[in-house]
Amino acid sequence: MAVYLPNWPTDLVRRWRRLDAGTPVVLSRCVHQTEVVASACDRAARRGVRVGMSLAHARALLPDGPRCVEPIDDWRVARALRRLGARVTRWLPVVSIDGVDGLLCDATGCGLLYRGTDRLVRTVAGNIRRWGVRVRVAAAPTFGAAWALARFGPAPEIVTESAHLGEALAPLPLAGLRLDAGTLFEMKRVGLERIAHLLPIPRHALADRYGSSVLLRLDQAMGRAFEVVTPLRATEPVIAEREFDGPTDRPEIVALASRGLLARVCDALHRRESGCRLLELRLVRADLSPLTLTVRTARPTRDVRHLWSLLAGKLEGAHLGFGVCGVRLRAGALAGLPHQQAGHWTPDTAPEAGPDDAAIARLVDTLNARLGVGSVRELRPRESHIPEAAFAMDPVVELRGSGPVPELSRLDRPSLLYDVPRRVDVTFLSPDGPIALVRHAGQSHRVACGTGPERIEPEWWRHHAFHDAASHDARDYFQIKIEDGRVLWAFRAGGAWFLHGLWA
Amino acid sequence: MLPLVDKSALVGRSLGDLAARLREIENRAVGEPGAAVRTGWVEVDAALPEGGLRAGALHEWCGVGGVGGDRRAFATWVPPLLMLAHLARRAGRAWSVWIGRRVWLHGHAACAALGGPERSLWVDAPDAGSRLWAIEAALRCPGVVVIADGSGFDSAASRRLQLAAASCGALGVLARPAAELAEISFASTRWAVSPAPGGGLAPRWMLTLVRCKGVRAVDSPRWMIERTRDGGLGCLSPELADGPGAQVAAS
Repeated sequence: MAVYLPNWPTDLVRRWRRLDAGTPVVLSRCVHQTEVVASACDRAARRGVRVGMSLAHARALLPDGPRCVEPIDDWRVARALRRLGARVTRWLPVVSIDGVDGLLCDATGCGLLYRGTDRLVRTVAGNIRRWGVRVRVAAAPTFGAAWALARFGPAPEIVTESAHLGEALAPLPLAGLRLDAGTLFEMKRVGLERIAHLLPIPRHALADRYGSSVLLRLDQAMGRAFEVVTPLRATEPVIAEREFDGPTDRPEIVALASRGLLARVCDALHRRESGCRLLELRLVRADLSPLTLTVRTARPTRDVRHLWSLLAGKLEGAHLGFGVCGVRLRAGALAGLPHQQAGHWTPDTAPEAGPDDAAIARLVDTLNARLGVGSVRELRPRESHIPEAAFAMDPVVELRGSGPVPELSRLDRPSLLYDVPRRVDVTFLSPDGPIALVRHAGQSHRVACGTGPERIEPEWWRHHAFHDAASHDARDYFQIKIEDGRVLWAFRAGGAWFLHGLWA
Repeated sequence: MLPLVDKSALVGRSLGDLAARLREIENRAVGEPGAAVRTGWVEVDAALPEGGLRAGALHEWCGVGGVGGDRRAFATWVPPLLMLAHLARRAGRAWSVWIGRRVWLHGHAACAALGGPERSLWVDAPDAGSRLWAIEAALRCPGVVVIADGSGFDSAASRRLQLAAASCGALGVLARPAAELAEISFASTRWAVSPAPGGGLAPRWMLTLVRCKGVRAVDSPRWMIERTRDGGLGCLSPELADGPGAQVAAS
């Protein structure tokens, strides 16, 4: 059985963005420094948008009004297809991913469960359709025939028996045989367009002219050659659980049981040669809803002591209610963590190599667990020349190694930048002359020397150019050294003066 | 129990030998002395007994204010951020951990001083108690330099941090307001920083070594530190800093 999703990427984007059915969706991809259409929905296709045309052309074809044009996220689309495949295993045991927009399933014998293959096909197609995805499903005795019928068949849901395989395939175009584009083009030049045209040609002539792959594909469709698919395999979740004889409200019993479960989970992770970045402890409480305690780590780990130190802190503050009937521990976000050779001597490693990172990852986890997620930040440069927008302090979720270092401007910037610029009064000796006096918070500072202006214009291509609404004007920055030696960074915007930072 | 020091072994030794012996005993109490971290200022390093800031110890840098009235001096206190960044770079550790919002540098200055945005972690602690806990946890992590806001800590806290730093050989740098210089502290060295007038547009600071373990505090040595054109910090020789030398150079 083959499942074909004609508009898979655009259907997904429509779902993610919660767009209504009337909004045309066009996804683009950058090919040779040109934005071209990678996928277009039916509505856009009806206006003439084709895959491969330039994005500017497609924009011109789309009607005015709401529309969605954005770059395609191949990785996310592929992940969504894998998830869809995992869902389809609800009806069929063997499901494999077929390209970027289809599934191939082994439906042998499954029809009996649904009182007929046609009902099975209807069930699968109906359920996928209910998720808002356009789908065509075909069941046939061979994978090749099902593939062709799902894409080029006369109806969105087709069931073909082996007796009628030949006549079902005959009217389909040759593209249904999964041939490469070059072979198809060659065949089209000599007038071979449908599968029926190939059937009367002697096999050795086909092989001589177009290679043996044509014969193989033809045989696979007609059931004369084997075809195997790689099924999706669900990984077994790492879960350990324990039921108590009755509800207990003694925290030490819950802690002891959790510790035991953690040892089991880490043991399972050890056997799998992987580590987890997420740990969920679920306390089933009597007369209360279950309580889930979550621990996240910055790097995959299976270190019992470290994980327990994180979990124990959470468990201390947990409200056990009228008693806990059972605990269940699940390890999530698994990632490979190779076994390490236990050395008698500590390895002689460079200071920036692995072991330090493991220690710092533990530190990040400990700090995050005690002070709350978001208390540990990392610095991330952003593309902006507005001083307060040039850097972001992002919470550390996952500890990465050193990435590519972006090119920083060589401009001189203060070490301290106030979140909100402070109002100051400035006195000049003469109009447009040098600054003589800076007055801030009730104190006057005589100016020793200064330099400026450095003009920073608002970024007109963004909506929120500057931090505060008071200054939508360009800013003229001055470095001012006051008489006691401190160097201030002040700017003039719209006639008012602000203090923005200092070199401390 | 054996006596810690055999008295007969001390008879006939010079005072220098005895001082060395004392230091050895002191170091035994706090663990192995780590390698010293050079400050990069030759004159300053020369004044320190180990030729730099001792690793596995706590160092306090007090002073430098923000801009504001004197009555709100504490509220507007700003640590000597550029000096802290300079020390973090000189420490040469794999990671630098900055604890407390007051010591968070602006991104530009941090990248310029530390050589890039990665390998620094910025920790925000809601109150002094959790800040102390976070600093201690970070000091017990091998291979880091910890730079923290130490305002509002008492002597017990500094003792705790000193022990934590000694246990793992981490370099701990605490920034404290100038007013807290009067507090008792167990830090290995204590420095006072104040803005200094003079010079051109580049910011200048007066650096005073207030206390250093193992050195008699007769007179606190002072240096003038100035920001150089390439963004680093340099120590000015006293002839050029101010006085007649500066005028000769200017004329």
